[in-house]
Amino acid sequence: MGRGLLEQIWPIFSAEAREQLAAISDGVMDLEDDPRSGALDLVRRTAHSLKGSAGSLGLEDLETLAHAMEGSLSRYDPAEGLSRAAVQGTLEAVHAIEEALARGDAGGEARVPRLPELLAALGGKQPALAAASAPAAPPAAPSPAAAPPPARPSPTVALVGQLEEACASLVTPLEPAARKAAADGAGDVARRLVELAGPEAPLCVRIAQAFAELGEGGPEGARAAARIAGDLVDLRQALEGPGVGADGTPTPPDSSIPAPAPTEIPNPDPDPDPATLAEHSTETSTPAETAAVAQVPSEKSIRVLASAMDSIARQLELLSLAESRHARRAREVREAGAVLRAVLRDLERAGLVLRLGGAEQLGALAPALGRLRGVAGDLSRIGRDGQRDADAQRLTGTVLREDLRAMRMVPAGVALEPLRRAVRDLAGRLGKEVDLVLSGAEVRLDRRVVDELRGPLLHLVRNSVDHGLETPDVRRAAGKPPRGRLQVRVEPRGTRVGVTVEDDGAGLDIAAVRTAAVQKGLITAEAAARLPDDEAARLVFEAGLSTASSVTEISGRGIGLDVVHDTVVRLQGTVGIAFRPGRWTRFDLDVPLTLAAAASLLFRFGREVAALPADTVERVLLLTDGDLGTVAGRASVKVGGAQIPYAPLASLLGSAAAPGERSRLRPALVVAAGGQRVALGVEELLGQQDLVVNALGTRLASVPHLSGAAVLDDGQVIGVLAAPELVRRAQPAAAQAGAAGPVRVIVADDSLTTRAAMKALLEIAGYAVLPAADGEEALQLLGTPGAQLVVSDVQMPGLDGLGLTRRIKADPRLRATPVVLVTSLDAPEDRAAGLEAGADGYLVKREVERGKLLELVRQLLPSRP
Amino acid sequence: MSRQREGAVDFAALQRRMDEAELVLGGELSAEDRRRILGERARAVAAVRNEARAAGVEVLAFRVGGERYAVEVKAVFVALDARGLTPLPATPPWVLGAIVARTRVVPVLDLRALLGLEGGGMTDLAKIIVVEHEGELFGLAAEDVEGKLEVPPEGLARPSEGPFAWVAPDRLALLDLSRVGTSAARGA
Repeated sequence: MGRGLLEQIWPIFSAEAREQLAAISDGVMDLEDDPRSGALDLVRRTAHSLKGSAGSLGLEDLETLAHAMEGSLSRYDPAEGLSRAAVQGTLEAVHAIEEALARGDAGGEARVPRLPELLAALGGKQPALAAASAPAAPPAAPSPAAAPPPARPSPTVALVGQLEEACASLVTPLEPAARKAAADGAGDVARRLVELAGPEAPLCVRIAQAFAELGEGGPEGARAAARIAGDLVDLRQALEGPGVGADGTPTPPDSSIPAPAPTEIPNPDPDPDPATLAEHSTETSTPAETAAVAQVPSEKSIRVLASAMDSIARQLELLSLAESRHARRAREVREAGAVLRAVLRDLERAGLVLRLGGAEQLGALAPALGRLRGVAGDLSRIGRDGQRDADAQRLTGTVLREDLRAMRMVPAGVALEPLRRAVRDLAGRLGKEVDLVLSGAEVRLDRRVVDELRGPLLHLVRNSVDHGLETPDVRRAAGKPPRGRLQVRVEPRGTRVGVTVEDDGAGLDIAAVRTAAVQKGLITAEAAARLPDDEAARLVFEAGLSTASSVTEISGRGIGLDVVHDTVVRLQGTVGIAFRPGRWTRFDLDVPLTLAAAASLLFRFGREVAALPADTVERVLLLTDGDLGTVAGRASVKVGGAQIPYAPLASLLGSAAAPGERSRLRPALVVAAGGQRVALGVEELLGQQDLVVNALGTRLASVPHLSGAAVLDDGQVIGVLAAPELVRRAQPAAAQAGAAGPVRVIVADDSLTTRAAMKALLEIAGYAVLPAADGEEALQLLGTPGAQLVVSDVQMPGLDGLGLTRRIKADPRLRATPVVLVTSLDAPEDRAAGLEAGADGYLVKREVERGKLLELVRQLLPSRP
Repeated sequence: MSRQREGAVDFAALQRRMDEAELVLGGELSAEDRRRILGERARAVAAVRNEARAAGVEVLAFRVGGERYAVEVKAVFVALDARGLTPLPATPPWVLGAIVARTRVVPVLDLRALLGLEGGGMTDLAKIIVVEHEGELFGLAAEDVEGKLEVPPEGLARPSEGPFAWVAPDRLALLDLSRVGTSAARGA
């Protein structure tokens, strides 16, 4: 097969082959569990079909392997069941083919290394492909469905071969006379084929006509040549089956008949009479057709490239921008009409005044004004019509978006099925026995949600098998059945979907989690002890936490429970964990059904604008100072009878506060996620729009408060916040990772004595002190491990106190850190310079001894629980 | 020797006389020897030129933070003006914001923050180079885009640190996109 043609067909073949491989491996595993399952037929047919398509593309390795798989399955005896070795052999072959496909996808050759070993494992022999003289019989099969008919006879094939040669020669430059002669000859051959080809007759007639056109030459001839090439491929496939390439490579012995339609069994008829064969071909569907039909005959579906859907979605977004512009133009036209009418009234009044004043020559004015009035009326009408059109367009756009949303919905099974193999592999490797129960595979979700969930689900499942479920011996000793049970459930919850991963293993070792968290510095030992069990369990979602004494190789990408958490949060979802020690562990994910355009609230906070999906905002409040109270030292507001935490969004995210006076009435958004709520103070509400949130990729996975970015209807980009993260940060128990533990203060001074003195002073007061010898060191410490306040001398070598202050205040991430300059310089100019650089406090060293430093530090630090 | 007088010119004789004259004038090599040697050298140089030149790598070079960097041309999605860059709320310093590139919304990263270079803020950044890596798009802000270069494979050194695939003799460094902006690379 020509390189170009192969490249064109490759993506389709690759996609289809992957589906077939998935079906084969699932079916084989089904058979292993339940030997009587009807999966055998499907698996064998699928292997046969794969063999056919691989063969038709000249991919010999894949074809041979698929053939061996088919053969091994046809030796299957239901009474004996499928041996583990056979299953293993098949799965390895599937895996090898997948790797070959991946090589092909990357542009390389789809060859299979270690082919002989794989074939041996499947018990197959390498069929003599190269020089097939006589059709060899396939391995003896118990069921009649497997016996394929012999190869088609050579006469028709030979004729097709002649046509192909003729076509090849006709595309080279020829003298008109020679071309006509060759075309005529080919036409004759084609006409002879018409008689022999039976149902393919119309195709042959078309080919004959095309050759005639080719003979004429010219642009028509060129087009005819293109058609002939395609038709010849179809013809050969139809007559011969998928086992032969268009360039006439010899037929492999027994691959001539296509996978039969589900209900039909082809007749093994050794008689090569063309007439009988014509009969046969009417009974079975052509290979091209069967290959194109989806594996699941129940649903009429077509395959679409995901990138095509993305492109449609983007065009729809552009369309919606156009819709808004349209509506705006129509409005402007109407307004222009209204203005014109007002001007007209003025003109008429002026004309009246002039006439009263005696001007007679106003004759022309009246008809002119009349015409203008007509124009004004037209403008209004056009504007109205325009608005109506824009409304209709918006409606169409909405329907289109709904349709696209539905198209993007795929069954959750897409993410669930791969879990079977993973569980099987891992359980086998670890010597554990696991029953995987999947439910809800038919629930449909947005493809993008499903795509994002694949990784987390895989990790959670592997986590359960690795750390949760115990070995059979341990289980028996604990009085549990030896086979562990792992259940993955997908269930619809209104506009959202719940995904649960539950195992009946050992539950969480909560003490180990607490210890690991304290060791990692995420939380102090006292705080860890104070945490109730269910909150302590959530510590597993912090980055870097591992209670496994040996790190098992879970996945090459280093995905951990923290990434599971972040991924789900990015989807505007939540993940929860519950467990019973020694009995079970359950992860509960809650994600939206779809990521399509959702109504979003736009608002300004601090100096920035952002958006939140409307369905995460319970209500909007307008607060006066009096509405804010404190509960347990934290700001809160009463909503619907309950006190919920309040935080200005700007300070929650550590971004700069708004300039100027705060107005008396401040809007607050009551945001809910995961059963908790928070009131977020913002400066101003800017409106509402339907926005499609675009994920920003894995590099921004560590910015959990950003769900993504969207394009507004005026083309501007806006950030979309992730409600769950905001709610989490605002909770009181969010004296959590990063802010837990004693307050860290950096003390920068080049004098060792001064450093030691201030360190002692602050430590007695209960602060953790990080000493630095100069500004640079202080900056480094601010980066890692970070601090809540900086006390710095002014005169230091290298980066001095003023420079340090300036650098801190210039960095958006560090800006919020208070800086106190402590110095021996007392002159007012020095003080002014310090404050100008941005210092939050300026003390002279004398004052430090008088306790002023501690007072200032306490004042400057945000309230701590 | 006048053409008119003798008809055909005897160039061989001419040559000999010139050679003799040169020898007399003080060359150590006869002109003939010199011609032979020069001829050999010429052939040698021509042979070097005719060697199939190993293909260089096609890169897009740009300047940021006072240094020159490059990305493989085949990884470049589009290069556009930084004018449409919008900051995103409360992002770390290495995220400048997001921009719309050919109807896609992509995050834009600050190489200066990722590599510890001088400079900050968006004033110097004029262009954004949007690259694609493993199916994801992201942008890198640049002060100036130099354009496409073909870098010969000789002399490329592998640097010991930093997210670079190689550094060329003229200090142009090719970014290894799998290590740019990832949490592993940031030491997060």
